[in-house]
Amino acid sequence: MSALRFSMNGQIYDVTIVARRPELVLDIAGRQYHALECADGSIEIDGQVLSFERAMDGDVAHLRLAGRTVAVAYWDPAAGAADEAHGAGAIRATMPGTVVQVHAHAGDAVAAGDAVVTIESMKLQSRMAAARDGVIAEILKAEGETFDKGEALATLVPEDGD
Amino acid sequence: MSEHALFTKVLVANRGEIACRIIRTLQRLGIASVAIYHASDRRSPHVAMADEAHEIAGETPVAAYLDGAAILEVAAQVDAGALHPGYGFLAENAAFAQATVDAGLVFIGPDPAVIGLMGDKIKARAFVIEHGYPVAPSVVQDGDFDGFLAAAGAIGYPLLIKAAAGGGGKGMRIVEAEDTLRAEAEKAAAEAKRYFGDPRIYAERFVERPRHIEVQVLGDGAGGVVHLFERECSIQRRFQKVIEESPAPGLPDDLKQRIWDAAVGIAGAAHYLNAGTVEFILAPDGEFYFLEMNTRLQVEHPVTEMITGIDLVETQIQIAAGRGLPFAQADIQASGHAIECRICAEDPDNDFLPETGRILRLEPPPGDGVRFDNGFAAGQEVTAAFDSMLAKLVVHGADRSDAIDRCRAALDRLVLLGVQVNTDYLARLLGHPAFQEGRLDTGFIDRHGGDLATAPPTDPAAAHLVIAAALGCRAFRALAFEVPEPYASIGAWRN
Repeated sequence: MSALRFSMNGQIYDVTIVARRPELVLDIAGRQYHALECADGSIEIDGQVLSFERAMDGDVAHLRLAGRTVAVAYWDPAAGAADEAHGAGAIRATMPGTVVQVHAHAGDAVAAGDAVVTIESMKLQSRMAAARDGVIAEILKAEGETFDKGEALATLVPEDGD
Repeated sequence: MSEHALFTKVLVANRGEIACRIIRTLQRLGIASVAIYHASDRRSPHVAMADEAHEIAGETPVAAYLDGAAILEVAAQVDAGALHPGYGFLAENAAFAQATVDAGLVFIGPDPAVIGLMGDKIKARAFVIEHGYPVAPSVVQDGDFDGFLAAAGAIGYPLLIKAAAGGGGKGMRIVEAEDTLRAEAEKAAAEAKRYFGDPRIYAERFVERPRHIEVQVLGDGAGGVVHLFERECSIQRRFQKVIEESPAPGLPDDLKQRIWDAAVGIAGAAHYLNAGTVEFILAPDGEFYFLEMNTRLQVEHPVTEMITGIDLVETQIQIAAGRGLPFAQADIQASGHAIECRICAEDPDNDFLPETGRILRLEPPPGDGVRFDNGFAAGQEVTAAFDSMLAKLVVHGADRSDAIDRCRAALDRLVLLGVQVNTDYLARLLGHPAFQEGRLDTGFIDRHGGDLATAPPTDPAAAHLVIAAALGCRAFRALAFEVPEPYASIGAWRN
């Protein structure tokens, strides 16, 4: 494996480490970047010093950089299989409620962060998104159906191929 | 000065930022505070801040904060002298206010009868008309549905249909032309029944490009009322305010004076007691119409506090303790300009739908003239159980442009990571030329939606974000930095 895969806003970014020393050289989408971590926590990329805020939630980085707040997920190829064994391939309801809208169908490829269903709980609507890239195996609740806390709304399997 | 002592113990019947904000004033006044909470809020700051906290059981988290009987039971058990309802939940529930009084407590708010009057939008409008203040041309549906439709059509289009018992935009519909009137009115009535248990609706002239201007008032309950100037609340999404400021930009002094006078007149006629807000719709031609009166502390009250230097919660407590109005109109002075941004867990690029997640980092922005009213702590889960507003950022500046600059700087320094919030969106909105020029109306967000949308990051910005993320990722660091020496010099990683 030559690259590590990350996803942001549903887009996939493959990061290849071209060189480690004297500074880190990375290839993203065919373009090379020279990166250096500074002592104050900022990073210097191609001579430009970038200060940012970051919080890690496992393999997901929550970032604020240059007026932009995003979540960037590391796509761990090994984790998919492990997740399946623990049933984490399901999108589960955090609250009892009703399905308002279904955004994807069985067989659809989805990226991490893509909305799969919109639910309404306590008169408030929220989107339930895919936690990682994959293919929708089954939509378990149709529009208008109610569910309890913890119930699976849809199941997700890893995408075939590479 | 008055001999009325302030209370020794006050129960705060709320949660989140407003509970914290009320407790802060109680602490400053040396009054013991009692918090209530649902189990899901056990780790909320309001529970930790209060002198004592009591759990209320509830089938849902919201139900706990709506359980008036259980809350009054706690109040009796802890021997609280008064109850502050905050906003939302039971704050405008006349029956609860009456039950509080009947239980021997002081309800820090208006008289239950006035809450009831102003809570019924149809009765409130009739009251305002009766006292000679302007309301938009309207017609009320009182049983004869066909007659209502005919009268509504006669007002002219576009029309706004609202629920009599409404609020928060629920049951509200704009009707552009006659062919959709019946269907929309039926939907509005059904929605009104579903949300408020009351199907009565009314139709009023929809003012094009309206501004939402409201006036903070304080009443002594005997007809004496002072105002604390106006607030501009036209920046709204989903019929809910997101940015408020005071003073309202660009209003001529004589128009402001007429709006203040109308607010004071309406509150005076109602013998209004304690703090309240009279809301108006202002048309581009300078005509203004009574919209509704909120019989409680508003979410956006801090902008008024910032320009007047008056603590509205302290004033509420003084009035509730029987001390009367602590100041005359001439004593109330405003200086500078204040802006409030509501920090909400929502996705501005997806119709502002609420977002959920765990707050990983939360660091209030430092800075002069910056106030951060917050009800959350890092580590806390933001669920869909409650309103999506997490905190309020309020800034004070010498003038509007200074306040906008400070607000943008503060948004930039605010660190709130883990759940998607609207801070980047708010910063773009504050930077929009139309906002900076004060060209505001309630259609602002819809009209400028394209300019305000998040542009997808392009290279190299996208790559910078991915690299910053990668450097926080254990798997990446292991590969980039922890490679045994013989392999480190190889360079490109090959399988």
